[in-house]
Amino acid sequence: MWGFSMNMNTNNFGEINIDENKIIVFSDGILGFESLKRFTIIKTDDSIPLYWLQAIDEDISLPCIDPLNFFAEYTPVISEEDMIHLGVSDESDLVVLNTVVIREQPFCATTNLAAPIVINTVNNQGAQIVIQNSDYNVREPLVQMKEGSDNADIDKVDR
Amino acid sequence: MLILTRLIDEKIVINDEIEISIVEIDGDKVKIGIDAPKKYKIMRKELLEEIKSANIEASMASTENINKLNLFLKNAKENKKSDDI
Repeated sequence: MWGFSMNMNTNNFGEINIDENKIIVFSDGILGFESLKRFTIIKTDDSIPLYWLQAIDEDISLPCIDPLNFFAEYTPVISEEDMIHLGVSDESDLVVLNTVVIREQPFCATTNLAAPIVINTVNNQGAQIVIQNSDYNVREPLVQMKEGSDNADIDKVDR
Repeated sequence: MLILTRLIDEKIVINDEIEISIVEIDGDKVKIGIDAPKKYKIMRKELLEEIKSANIEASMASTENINKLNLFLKNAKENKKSDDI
């Protein structure tokens, strides 16, 4: 199969090489960035549980987490319509990420559990899906502080 | 914008597909019932606005704050590891 890759200059990661096979198409865009349809996932450091959803047609990148690393019991229900939209035939083909708002104080970072980024790894189609009828927050604290302690308690960081 | 006056239990039909009814009025709260095919995503607009602003904020992280969070997460992970031993 013919494949191509391209180079792109980014503010956060310098010059990056994007493999065609790793381009994820968000046909509906992402709220706030509706015009951007093509993204790729960047992981800068294996020891840090942070992923970046980098747009290809403009230098925009959104930090994300794998929710299982932080919220073990997080189980968003994705509607049948959204599954069809993403062309999902097997739920295990899905990757779920949650965007993170990074603040000046690291422990003030929040993550959006109400509208995860969902990617079908078989056809590289993605969407930000609003989970219906849930109590998930758009700004859930990323780490829970132990009372009276300076140390953050992370339940389960990927090991 | 089209503005219609409705009484409780009266309905509005859009395109023979969507039915909107006024279910209950209590002070400044109005309960609205919507019957629509599942292909229509029905959401509270504030939620979409909230998601949009969280996305935009997520994209604006400064290098300095990214580095601080990276370090924080790395340390948290290492602490976690040493706790496990």
